Amino acid sequence: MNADREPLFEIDAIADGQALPRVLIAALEETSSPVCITTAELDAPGPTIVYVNPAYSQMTRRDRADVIGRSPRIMQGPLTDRAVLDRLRDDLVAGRHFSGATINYRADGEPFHIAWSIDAVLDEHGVATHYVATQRDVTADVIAERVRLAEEGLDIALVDALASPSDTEAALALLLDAVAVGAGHVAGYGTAEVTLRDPTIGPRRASFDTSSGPPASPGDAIEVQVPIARVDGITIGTITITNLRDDERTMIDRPSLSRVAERAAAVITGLAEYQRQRSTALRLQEAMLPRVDAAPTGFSIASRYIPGDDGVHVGGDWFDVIETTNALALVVGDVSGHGIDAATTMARLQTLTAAEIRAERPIDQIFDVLDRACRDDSTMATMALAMISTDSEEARIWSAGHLPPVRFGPDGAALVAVSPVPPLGHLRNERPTPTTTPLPDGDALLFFTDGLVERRREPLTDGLDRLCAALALATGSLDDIVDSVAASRSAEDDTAVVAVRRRPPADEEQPLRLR
Amino acid sequence: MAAELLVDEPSPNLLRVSGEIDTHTAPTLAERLAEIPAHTALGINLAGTSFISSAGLAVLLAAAERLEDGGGSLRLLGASETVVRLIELSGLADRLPLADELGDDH
Repeated sequence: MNADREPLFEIDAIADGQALPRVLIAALEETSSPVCITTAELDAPGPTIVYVNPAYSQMTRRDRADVIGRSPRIMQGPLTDRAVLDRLRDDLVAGRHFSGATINYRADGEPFHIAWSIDAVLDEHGVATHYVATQRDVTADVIAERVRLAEEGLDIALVDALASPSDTEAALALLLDAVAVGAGHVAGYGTAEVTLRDPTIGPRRASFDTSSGPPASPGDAIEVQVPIARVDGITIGTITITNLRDDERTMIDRPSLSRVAERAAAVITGLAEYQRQRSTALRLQEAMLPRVDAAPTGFSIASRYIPGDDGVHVGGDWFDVIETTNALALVVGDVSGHGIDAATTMARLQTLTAAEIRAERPIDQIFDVLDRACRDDSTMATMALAMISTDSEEARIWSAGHLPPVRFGPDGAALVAVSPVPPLGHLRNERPTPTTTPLPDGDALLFFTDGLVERRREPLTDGLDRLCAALALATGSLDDIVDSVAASRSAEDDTAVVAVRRRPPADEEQPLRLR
Repeated sequence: MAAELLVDEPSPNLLRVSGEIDTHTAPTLAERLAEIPAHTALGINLAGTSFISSAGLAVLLAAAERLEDGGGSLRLLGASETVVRLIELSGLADRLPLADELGDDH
């Protein structure tokens, strides 16, 4: 212990010309914060260490006896940030407090992240006699923060990717870039390269360069590589940090990179699964929507199905056109919810509706069958059904919670005031009541799902008014009209539109295709 | 566009719902409603609700049916004109009855 005494006494003398109280020495010796006290020589050869406490020795793996009388520069190395050291000198010369962070080295050459602050000890004339540096090994904090930022970046990228999932390539590229950036930041050095070789996605690459200086020469370039593995253990790619010098490699925390890789696997498989589900729902939807080559004699028909803009909303809307003995039946419906479940219920309802209408069953009975189907599937659906008479100029309309159709023609456009019963699945034996509307030659009925008129932060009635106003002025083929109202929608929801016009103008092209 | 929904319970038979009840937020509301005993005469204050989608209506309707079946009831308070119109267009005026007064401190 005698070897330790001398520097302590030196400090005692400088602090106030007398011995420091034992309690203060004890505090310095006991604290877990590394403390280093140096002389105040800023000119070459610079300050020398006059005291370090045991916490300092523990952090730096240097005994007190090894550092007393030496320069604090023994802590520095190639990865130490020169700019921080320059600022340190400037602050001390100017008599300011300094605090900063950089990389220092332990006795065995292992680099670590250090944060420290320095205050001057002044004599009675206000002249600095010593500097007291309080230090902390912040390696774990730095790494944890980088991992947190990388994971956050990946989550944000996934949200962004899901916002436009129809563009599979762009969504994947967004994710891979985020993986590369995250891995690059966590590594802190070199170039992060992400290689994906998922058989279902195909090969993809992304890279991110963190190095500001020139790349390491190929001869001494070193790589650190971690696999991107799914939870089922299948490796779908790798994260490689290339372009590293040896000392940089020692700074790279492999477990942290593995955590980034783990999150990367989760978001990449999440995106792929989501896209698979979405495309299944979309295919199912498209397969179920009717395709007729020609409109029945005396009618023109136009229809559209548009998936939601954000791509999330797909799978619940449908329409159908069915010919019966003396009527043309028009159906539009919307199953609550989205995705495969909604698409499946939609397919079931559409099939049931078409079959029941072809069998010319009473409307009450049709609604009852559909109500039960919705209850079976624990969901609800809205539906409007029109029977457009082929031998009189009128149509009868029933609605289960569905938005009313618009009747439009040469005399203008207006909502048909239907009396809806609750949505299918919640009928509770209520009987739908028909509304009869005239539908003379040249007039059309347009049915739609709420995606066509619904806008957030706007009364629904505004959307309905807008649709009526557009249809009142509409001219041209029914196809063009449906195109123009479909184009004016601004909804995130998916949208189905179907319109039927009795005895179209002579110039209208026939037959019309349903899309 | 992430929707926000806040649900609070100023008294045991009143829920105050603020924000948008859409596909994303409807499950949150459904969970809160499911906690309410079926015999409750429940009021839902929609004065702060700017938007209800079909998914939101489905949740309200399911709650109304559960409460009615359990001897309770559901009334909507302070619904905006838009929400009222949506309920009428959906044929739910009888199923989701509206109360005139706000059964609330505000």
